[in-house]
Amino acid sequence: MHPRIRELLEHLDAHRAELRSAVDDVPVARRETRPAPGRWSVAEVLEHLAIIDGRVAMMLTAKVSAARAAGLGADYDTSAIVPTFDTTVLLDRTRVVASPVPLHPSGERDAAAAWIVLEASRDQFRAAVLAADGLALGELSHQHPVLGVLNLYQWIASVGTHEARHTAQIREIAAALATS
Amino acid sequence: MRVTADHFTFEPITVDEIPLLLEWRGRPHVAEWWGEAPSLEELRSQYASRLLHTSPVRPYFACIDRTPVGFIQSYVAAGSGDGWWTNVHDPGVLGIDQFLADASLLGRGLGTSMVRQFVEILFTSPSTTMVQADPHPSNARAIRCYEKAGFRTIGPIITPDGDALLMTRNR
Repeated sequence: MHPRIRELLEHLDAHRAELRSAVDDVPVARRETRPAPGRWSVAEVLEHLAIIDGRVAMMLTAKVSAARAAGLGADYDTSAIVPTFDTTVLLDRTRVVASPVPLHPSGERDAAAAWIVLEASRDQFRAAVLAADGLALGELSHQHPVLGVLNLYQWIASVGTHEARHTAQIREIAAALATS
Repeated sequence: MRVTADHFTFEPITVDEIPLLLEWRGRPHVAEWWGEAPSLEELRSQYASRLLHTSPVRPYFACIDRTPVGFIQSYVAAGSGDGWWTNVHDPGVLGIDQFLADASLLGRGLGTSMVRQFVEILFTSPSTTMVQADPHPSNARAIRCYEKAGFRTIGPIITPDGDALLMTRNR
């Protein structure tokens, strides 16, 4: 496995473990409860994250497939990816980031079902990443709605960082529900 | 409409629950199609990576009123390795395997309900393009279950586990 892909998968796994821990800290019976009107519940946050994983997987697959057909070569650079883009915008919870409507949760799933979808989406995302292992993903780019133009390595990393933002949100939800 | 269980919930299997899964695997109606039950250590080893989430296979207990009554797992077909699904390159293709634990529950439509509900959940991921199953060609009960859950037969295939019937369900 290319060192950059390994780095990114470890980045994703670390943030997923933190997410799971945050979810586990919310009582099962309260995971569908919104902390305030207009705010997402834990289940809705999980549904949103599954949508992100799935959509980035589809974008990655399409971009890599086209680039492979066009002769995209191997990546000989092994330098780290995560430090190459500014994550503060995503991680700063005081800054409101409005996600596009297609990325909004339907609210039709409970947290257990949302978690199953999230796991399946992550498995598909990982498969898409692994299918691109070794290719020069730094040469491919795509517009990120918040971070601007990112190369595909940075896109993969952004999924983990975006998840960290919502892990913090779930901890906020837990705190709000505990006092309500 | 809530996409959860009117009947079933699906709970990730934990390490502590492997002995229950082993006991189920030894039941005649399961062993008939899943093969002779492995030892506890073999099953623990088989599921270690799955339970640590380092494998793209996700095993669940299918529960009614929080009581496990069946086993169901999903997997990403592409990149499975070990000779599995070498012609599948779309990461959106998921596969499933399943059985009901209690032979007395067979033939009542419960398996169909379990499969249908699980597949509906999988299809709520935007990246899921297709769900496939590969019952043994002689397992008429499983084939009928998948048909009733919306799968259609593609044809016979040979997998690393032997002969199978490829069945798929699209969105």
